[in-house]
Amino acid sequence: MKTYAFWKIPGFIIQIIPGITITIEYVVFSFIFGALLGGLLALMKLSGKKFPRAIAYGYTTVMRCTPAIVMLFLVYYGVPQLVRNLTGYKMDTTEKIGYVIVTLTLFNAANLSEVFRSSYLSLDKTQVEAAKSVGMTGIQSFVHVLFPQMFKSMLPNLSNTVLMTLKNGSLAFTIGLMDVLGMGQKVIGKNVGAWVVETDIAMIAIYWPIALIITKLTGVLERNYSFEHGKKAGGRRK
Amino acid sequence: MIDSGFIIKTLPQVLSGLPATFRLVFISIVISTPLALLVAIVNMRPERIASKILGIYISFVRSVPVIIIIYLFYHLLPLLLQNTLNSVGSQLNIYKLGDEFFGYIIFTIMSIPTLSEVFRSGLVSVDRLQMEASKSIGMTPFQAYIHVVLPQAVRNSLPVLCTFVTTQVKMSSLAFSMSIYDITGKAKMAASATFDFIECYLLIFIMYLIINISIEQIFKYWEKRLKPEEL
Repeated sequence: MKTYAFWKIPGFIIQIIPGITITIEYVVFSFIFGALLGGLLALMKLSGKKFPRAIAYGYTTVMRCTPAIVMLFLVYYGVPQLVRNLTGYKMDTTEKIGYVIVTLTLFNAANLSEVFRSSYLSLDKTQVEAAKSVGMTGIQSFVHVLFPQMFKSMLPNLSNTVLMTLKNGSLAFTIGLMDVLGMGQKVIGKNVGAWVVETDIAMIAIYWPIALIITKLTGVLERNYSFEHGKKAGGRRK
Repeated sequence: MIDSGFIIKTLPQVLSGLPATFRLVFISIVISTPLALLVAIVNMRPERIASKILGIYISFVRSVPVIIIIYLFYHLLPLLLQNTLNSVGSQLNIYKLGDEFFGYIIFTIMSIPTLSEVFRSGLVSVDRLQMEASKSIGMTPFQAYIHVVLPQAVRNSLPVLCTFVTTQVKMSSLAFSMSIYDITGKAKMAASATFDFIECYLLIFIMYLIINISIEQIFKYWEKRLKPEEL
C-alpha cells in the first residue's frame, strides 16, 4: 500500500498560500462589479418594457447555460483575437487576472440579478406608499425601507454566489493564473507529479476552511441583522 | 475575421465528444439518484450520527472546487480500488477499466449532495397531512410514499431538478482534466492543434447553449404535463 507523505502537506500549504491573495482579489472584485451589473440587469428585468426585459432574461439564460471554463476560454482567447482582428491592437494577455475578473463578473451579474429580483419581488410594496406618505422620495424609501429588508433575505443567496465564484474562479489556473490552484499546479510541477494527492489535500485544506468561514460569517450576519418588521399596519403579523 | 470554414471542419470532431458528455451526465445521474434519495431520507432527521457524517461529506463537496475533487479522486481512487481488490484476491486490473469508469464514480460522488438537497426539498414540500390521510385509509407508509408522496414530491422539485441537470452538464465540461474527451476536451484538442481558439470555443459555447436550453424546454414541458392547472 503506497503510504502518502502526510508530513509534506503543511510544507505544501505554505508554498500555496501566496495564491490566496489573488483568489481573494478576483472574488472581491468580481462580486462588486457583478453586483453593479446585476443590479442594472435586475432593474431591466423589473421594468415592464419588452426590450430591456428580453435582453436581461436572454443574458441570464446564456450565462446559466454556459460552463465556466468555456466562458473563460472565450474571454481569454476570444476577446484579444477579436480586438486584434478588428483594430489591430494587441491586448495584453500577461495580466490574466483581468480576464478572470471579467468572466466571473459576467457570471455573478446573471446570478445576482436573479437574487436581487426575487428578493425585491418578495417585499411588501405598501410600505413604499406609507414611506411616501410621510414625505420620503422614491430613492429614500428604497434606501431606508426596502433595501434593509432585501439585504436580509438576500444573505444566503449572496453567500452561495460567493462560494460559486470561488469554485468557478478556481478554473483560472487553466489560463495560467497563479491563484491557490495555480500555485498548487506549480508545486505539483516542481515535484514532477510525485505528490499530487498530498498537494490536492493541501489545496483542500485551504479552500474548505475559507468556505466554512464564509458560511459561518453569513450565519452570524443573518442573526445579527434580524429585526422585527413583521407587523403590518393594523397589527397583523406577517 | 472568424474563419467560418474552420468551424464547419471542426464540427464533426467536436461532435464526436457529444456521446461522452451524455454518457457522463446520464450515467452519473442514474447511479446517484437512489444514493441521493437515501442521503435525503437520512438527512430528514439531522440529529442522527449518520447525517452528521453525511454533513461533512456534503460540506466537502460544496466548498471545494470541482477540479480539485476531480484531481484528488482521479489519483486516489484507482490505487485504493486496486489495493482493496488485491487484498480480496481478485486479479482484476483497474487500469484496464479506463478513465470513463472513474469519471462516472467521481461525478456520482460530486452530484449526490446537490441531488439529495433537491429530493429533500421535494419531500418536505409535500404536506404531512397527505401521509396521515393515506394511512387513515389503510395504506402502509411504503404504499403511501410510492402512490401519494413521491409523485407530488417529483412534481414540486422539477424546477430545481432542471437547474441540477444543467449544472451537471456544465460540470461535465471539466472532465477533460481526467482525459475524458467530451465536447470541451475535443475542442481543446482541436484548438491547440490549429490555434483557432475563438472558433473552437465559440462552437462548444453554442453547443452547450443548445443542450442546456433543450434540457430547460424538456423540463418546462414535463412541468406543464404534470401541473396543467398552473401553467
